[in-house]
Formats: sequence, structure tokens, C-alpha cells
Amino acid sequence: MPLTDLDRSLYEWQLDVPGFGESGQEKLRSSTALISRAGGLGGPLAFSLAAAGIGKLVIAHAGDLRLDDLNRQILMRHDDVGKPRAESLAATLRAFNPQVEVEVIPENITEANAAELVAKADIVFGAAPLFEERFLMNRECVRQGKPLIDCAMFSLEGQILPIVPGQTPCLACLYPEIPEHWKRRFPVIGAVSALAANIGAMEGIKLLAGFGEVSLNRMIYFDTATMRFQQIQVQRNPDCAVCQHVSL
Amino acid sequence: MEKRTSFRRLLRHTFRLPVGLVLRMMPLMGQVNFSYTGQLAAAAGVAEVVLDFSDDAVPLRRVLDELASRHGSKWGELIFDDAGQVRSTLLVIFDGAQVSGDKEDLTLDGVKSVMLMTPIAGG
Repeated sequence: MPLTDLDRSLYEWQLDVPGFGESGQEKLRSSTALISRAGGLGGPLAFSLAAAGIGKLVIAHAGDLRLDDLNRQILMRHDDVGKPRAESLAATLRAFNPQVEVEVIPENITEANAAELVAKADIVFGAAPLFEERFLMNRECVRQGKPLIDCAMFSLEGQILPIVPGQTPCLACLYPEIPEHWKRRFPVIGAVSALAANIGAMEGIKLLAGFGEVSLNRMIYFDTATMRFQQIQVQRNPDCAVCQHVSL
Repeated sequence: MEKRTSFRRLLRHTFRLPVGLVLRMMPLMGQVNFSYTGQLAAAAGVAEVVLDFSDDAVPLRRVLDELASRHGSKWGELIFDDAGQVRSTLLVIFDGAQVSGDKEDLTLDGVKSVMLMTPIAGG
């Protein structure tokens, strides 16, 4: 889909990015991204994808906004405490960039909706706080051959794992079962989740627009306590229950 | 037995050093830098330790047992499952690369850094 004059004006500064240009912008504008939860990670992620001019965002996020969400869930507004998160985040994104189509599903990822939601997207971003949801998205992305950018954080650390089925390890290659010790509540400063989110957003933008070097087969790890960033080589598990039979 | 005794002594010696001094040390010959992420670092109270080995081919399992006895039961529970085996969800990184295969059989032959990562899903 060719860019309009409005597109050229709106995205003028990023069209100058080497390797991106009008071609990259067109690809981004033709793309749909699914984000599982728009909390501390998914919110900034959705914001950055909207700013970059993704064509459509599908966001799955249930529940009502709580006061203690607001240290990190930057799409929400103080006045919306007690109201559905889905309404708050949709209003913010639509006001921020009306060019982007926003579909908000007031549900979290479940066995019942995972396949249908993943089918809507060209790329999926995992930002849910529970491994059950992340594993469902991982399984569906592998089944449907969709790339998944899994973003996670804990305290001052973040991990971003770009997954391309058949080409890279999937989440189940690294973690073959639900980690027993992960708790729903975790320590978080909003800036750390936003940092992980924006690294994930950038990996997704590069994948969709076809420029730069995506961190395939490498997990991006950072620790803001020391500002140590590193890429860790990861590998497929030949016995993975989810992706062992998938090849390019 | 002699090697095991030596390893234990060196392990204790390293832990007696002030943490700041250990963190600033460049690993020397025979030294391996162990770093922990996320919940492991929180449970241990430190993110990094340097261990000194007189034997290159020290089994990882033996080191994990030693570290668990030092760092306490909460740390040990993150590393070992109820059957006492290294958890399948623990990522073991040798010199920047994930190690595959049975974690019970790994040795530190020639390894300079070991990173232990537990899964995180904060969002």
C-alpha cells in the first residue's frame, strides 16, 4: 500500500533511517501486531508500534485498572482507575495516532481464544505476566508459523527473545515446562519494563520492515542495576514438544 | 578426595572475600565467574561470585550443590526440583552460550563464565 502525503509528513523523520525508508514504512503500515496484555511491557510496546506507524494493533487485556498498575502501565490514566483497562488503553492509542487501527479484546490469552487471535496477526508480542499465556501464544505461533517476540522483565532485568518458528528456538525449547517458582506478583519499575518493551518493539519493527539485524538465536539480556547488556546464544531443543517437527 | 577438599577450601576462601573485591577481580587462571539473574540473584543476595578451581573438569552439579549450601534453601529450590535434579527450566550459559543436554553431566572444562538464569515473565 503506497504511502499517502499524510504518512510522509507523519513519519518523515523515520523515513530517513538507513535501510528503512518508504519501503519499510509501507511494510509496517500493512502489518498487524497482536500484543498479549498492555501492562508495563505491552503498553510501551503498543505505544512504540503505534508511533512507528504499524497498520493495526490487536491487544488482548482483561480486567479493571487498579491504582497500583500506574507505576508502569503508561497507556492508562489515573481517572480510569476502576474502569476496564481495555477502554483506557484503546482511547490513549487512538488519540495518539488515529492512523493506526486499534482492536482491543477485553480478555487475556486463553486456550479458547489463542488460535483465533494469533491468526489475526502478522507478528505477536508476548508481554503477559503468566507463563501459561506465554506458552499458549508460543504454541499457536509455532503452529501458524508466525514470529513471536517474547519480552519479559523482573526487577531491574529484562529478557527479549525473538522467535521465528523453524529458524530459532521457541519458548518451550528453553523452558520445557511451566516454571514452578514464577509468581504473578513481581518487582517492577516502569522504566525497566518500558526498556524491555522498546527493545522488543525494535526487534519486531526490523522483522516486519525487513531491515537491520534481528537477534535471531540470541536472547537479549540486560540488567539496569549495572547497565550490562548482552546477547546470549540460544539453541533449539531437538526434543522440543512444541517445535521439534518444524523446519523452514 | 584431595581435589574435593581443595575445591571446598577455595570456595570458602572466595566467599570470605568482600563482595566488592570479588566483583572487581578479573578472573585468573582456574577462576570461573558465576553470575545469577532474576530470582536467583535475589535469593543469593549477590549477583556474581568468582570461584577458584584447581581442577578444570569440575562437574557443574558439584558446584551447584556447594553454592546451594552457601546461598541457602531458597536458592537451592530455584535450582533443584523436588527429586533433587537440576530443574529443566534453569538456563545454564557457558561463556555466553546456552548449554544443551543433561545439566547433571556438564563439567566446567575450560569454561570462564557461568550464567544461571531462571525464567521470568514480568510484564
